[in-house]
Amino acid sequence: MHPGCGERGSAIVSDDFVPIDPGRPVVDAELVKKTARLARLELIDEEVEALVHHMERILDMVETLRSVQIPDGLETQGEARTETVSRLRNDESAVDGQPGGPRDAESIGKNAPDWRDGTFVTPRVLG
Amino acid sequence: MSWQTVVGLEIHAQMATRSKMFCSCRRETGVDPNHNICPVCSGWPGALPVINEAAVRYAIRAAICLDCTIQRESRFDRKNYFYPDLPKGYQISQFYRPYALGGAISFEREDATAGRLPLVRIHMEEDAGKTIHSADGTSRIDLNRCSSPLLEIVTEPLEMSGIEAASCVRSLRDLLRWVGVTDGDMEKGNLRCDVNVSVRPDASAELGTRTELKNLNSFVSIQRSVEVESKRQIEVLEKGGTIRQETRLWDQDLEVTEEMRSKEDSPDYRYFPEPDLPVVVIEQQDIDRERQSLPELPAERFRRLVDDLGLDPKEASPILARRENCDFFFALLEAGLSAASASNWFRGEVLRHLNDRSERIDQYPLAAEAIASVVKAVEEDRISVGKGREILQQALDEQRDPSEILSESGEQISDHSALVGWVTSVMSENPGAVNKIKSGDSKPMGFLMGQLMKASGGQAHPRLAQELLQKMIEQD
Amino acid sequence: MSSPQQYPPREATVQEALQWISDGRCSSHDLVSRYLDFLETEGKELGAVVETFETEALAAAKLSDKRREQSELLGPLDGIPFTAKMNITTAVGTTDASSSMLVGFKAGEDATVVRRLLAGGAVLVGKTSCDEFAMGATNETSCHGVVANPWDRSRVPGGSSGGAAALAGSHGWAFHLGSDTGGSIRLPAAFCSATGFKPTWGRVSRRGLIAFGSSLDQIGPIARDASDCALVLDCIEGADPLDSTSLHQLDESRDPIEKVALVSEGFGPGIDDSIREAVRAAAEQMEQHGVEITEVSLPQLHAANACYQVIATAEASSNLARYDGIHVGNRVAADDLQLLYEKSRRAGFGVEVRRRILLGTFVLSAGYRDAYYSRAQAVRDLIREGVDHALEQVDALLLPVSPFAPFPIGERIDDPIALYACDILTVTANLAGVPALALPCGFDEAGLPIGMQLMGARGSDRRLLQLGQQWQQWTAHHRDLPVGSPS
Repeated sequence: MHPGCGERGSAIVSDDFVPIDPGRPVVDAELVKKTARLARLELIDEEVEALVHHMERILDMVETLRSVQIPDGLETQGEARTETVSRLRNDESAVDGQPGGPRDAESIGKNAPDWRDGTFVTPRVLG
Repeated sequence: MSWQTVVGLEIHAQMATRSKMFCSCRRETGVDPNHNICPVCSGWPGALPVINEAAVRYAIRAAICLDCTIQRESRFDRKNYFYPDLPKGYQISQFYRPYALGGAISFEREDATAGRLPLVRIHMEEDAGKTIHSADGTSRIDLNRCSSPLLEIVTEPLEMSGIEAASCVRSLRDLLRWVGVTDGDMEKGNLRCDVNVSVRPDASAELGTRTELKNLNSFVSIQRSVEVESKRQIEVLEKGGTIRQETRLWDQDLEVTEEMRSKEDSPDYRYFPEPDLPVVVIEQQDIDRERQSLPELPAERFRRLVDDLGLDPKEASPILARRENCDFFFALLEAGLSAASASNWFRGEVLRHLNDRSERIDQYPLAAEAIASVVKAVEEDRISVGKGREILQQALDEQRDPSEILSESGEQISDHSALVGWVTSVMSENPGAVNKIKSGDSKPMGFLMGQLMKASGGQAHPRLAQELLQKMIEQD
Repeated sequence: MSSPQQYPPREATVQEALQWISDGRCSSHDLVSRYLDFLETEGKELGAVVETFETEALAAAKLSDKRREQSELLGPLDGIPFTAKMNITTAVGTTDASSSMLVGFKAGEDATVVRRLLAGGAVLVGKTSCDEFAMGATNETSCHGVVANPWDRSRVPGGSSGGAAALAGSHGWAFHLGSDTGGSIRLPAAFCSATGFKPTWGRVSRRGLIAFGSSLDQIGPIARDASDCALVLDCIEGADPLDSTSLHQLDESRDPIEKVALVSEGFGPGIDDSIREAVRAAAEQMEQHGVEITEVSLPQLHAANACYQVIATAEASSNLARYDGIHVGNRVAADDLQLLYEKSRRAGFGVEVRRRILLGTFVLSAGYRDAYYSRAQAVRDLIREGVDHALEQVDALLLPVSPFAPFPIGERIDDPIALYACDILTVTANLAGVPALALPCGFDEAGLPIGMQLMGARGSDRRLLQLGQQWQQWTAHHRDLPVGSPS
């Protein structure tokens, strides 16, 4: 049986993890639109309401997260725990044709929606 | 009212590795667009990053040179934003746990005292590609540069002038270039600098609101933009206004800072740890190994040049501009020259030649030993300074070894009887000039010397000949 | 007069088919050719198959037969047909993750796992349909259409590896590569009465897998039984220099599993009676064969689904940012860059994918990140610890794969919350990075398949598969085929 959280005396103290509880955020059209902009997803008016509703239900479901007791000072690594340490790659260009090696521009370009003169083409980028 | 300008720097240095940060594409410039790309740096589905070990080593080197504290464990994070030259839609960087903290850049203040700009942190990250505006109204994306390895160096804010800010960046650049971490060429874009500027009434006041200046691609623009922006801020504040925290673009031609047109003032990067890369571990032995492989650093060499060899600090600085320069200088010493001679001839001949042609020491064709032999001939009075310079120039023009040319050309003749012979013949051929000199007019002296040098085939020792000529005219 | 060509029985496993081939009763070419027929007819009727590679596959099968003649086999799977899920890159055909965003994308290079299988002589015969970008539990979001459950074609096959499981559930001889982020191998395997295995995170290279939730994703086999899955794992597992998260040291322990604990939370009131009974009956059978059965409670499981939703969508929102209409994939043309992004992404992604991107973006956004993403990671640590702790006392955990039996197509797809309920028992294995094996363990009153799952400690992949193999010697659930299947 998992003994619960009281036995984690050895947890490392972290400066940046402070459990915040702002209360369940208000989900409204404004929030959904703002999030959609951040994600570069076009929204049409008709779907905003459904999305507000969906987000609310998801956040309700996700409320259980708040009910979990996080022990004081539990540092969340925030990354998937893994037994591996980064293995580094030699500083060499891979041999042509080797898996994971460089490709010629055309083979990359032909999967691009607009490829001309050996470049990816976009509408004028400002700023 | 006197104001203090406070500057903080964010410098990006591209590391001089052979391949990119997370893939094995070659890192090179001057090739066709998209010449060096692959699924990883192009952000294709299914591709995963793998860290370049040389980038980590160079990062360790940089941190050692800058006296940072290297963290045993650091992590990569994703910085999420949309931009066409960022194909994954995120940049892999280090946000929460950079590999190096603290440290400092040593620089020279305007009053020649030593300055110290503390660092906040250094971290590794990947570069983005390039967006080129095309004549047909579109933009074109070139991913050659995308995912090249970068070091981002972030400094604390410090009171300093525009000149000093440029000096800081130059010192940092010189140091990183010295140890081979970066090519550091601002014009080629492998060293980029953003500057944060604020002003305050005096050192005891709180830091003022800062603005961030971008688009600085030379030391001059760093200096001028700081000067112009701090002046702008002071004017605003003196009129009772407030400074808005914002990013401003430097306009090199008009010498003004301008508001950026972009609407996103503070983008939300939604940082989170990169799940495709486990922790990076840097052990003490990795640090020790890099430390041992470092060449003697500029500070130590400066000490040697100035304290041990007695050079003036102003002379030392062009020698220290590049490690290769310094190596050449020490080769001259090793070939037997004194510090003073080596310094004079190195700056006067070698650097002058290189600067005229905007070349670097590795393009200089003459060997240090060969130059030294010519210099020694001058110092031993076997040839004149002018002759020495001539020989070196001839060597460069004809692409020959100067010591060869030296042995071909006669040495200057100091033999008293030979000199007497020439002086006598010149005096007898030019009685009018001699009389003029005797009556107090020294102007013809130059003419007579010219004749004497002609008569001697250029080989008369100029100083001795002139002294003798003078004496013999007086005695005439 | 020569006798008509014989083929292994339809439900034959890969190992059994290999025996046929090595006995000379049929060739790899015969087998592959016949299997391609199945794919082109039933496979396509089920909606399970998107592409087949007849020319390449028959040529490869011929080469395999030649190697067999010369006793120069490349590996234990030489000559056996396999499919790859549409989110796994292959040099042949396209890899579109069943999304309009990527329709037509030619990867030009095999995923590491595919490369290893081809190097072992296995024959790639086709690409299977899946939920779009692997986001789903029913295979109803594929741009190639709905996939049907071979046991009842009005019902869902499970997802997101629905195509793979539907094929495995209706025909043997082959194995299928799927992927599992929150249950996407195990759920469809259970719904289609196939065996599916999710390896320890990092055991199998993710290079070439179109990423969904990177810290949760794994590629794994779906096949007729655990022995087949073990054969595939042999070939595909192991360190890949092109995947920094792949494990360099694999635990190969095959110590028999002696102690299994039922997870109480898997038998609560929210689980269908028939499912609870079937899994308990399975436990009793194990007990009769000498396995010690106990029970354990993992209270953290109540937060597991919430935790998973936050982390998976957060990672997905970032992983899918590369589909921007510029350098890969499809686009909707526009004169303004931001409009190009927004319209291309709206057109390219289905509604479920867009919902998840929105949620993922939200939980990472300023002001909400600490309350959602950071908190979910902390909860994930607790869940992981809880699972690890439980697995210190026993060798494996046993619970159902799904709370309910395969349900009708269309029933849950418009109700995402109801849909996410399918995952509640499977997400824990992904959150904890532990291996999990889904095994058919019976049928309900309606004749619909029930699956159970064994979870072991990280690295106990071999031990789980071994127990699964034993279990499948004591039982025969995995041998059944849907009623009315041609022989």
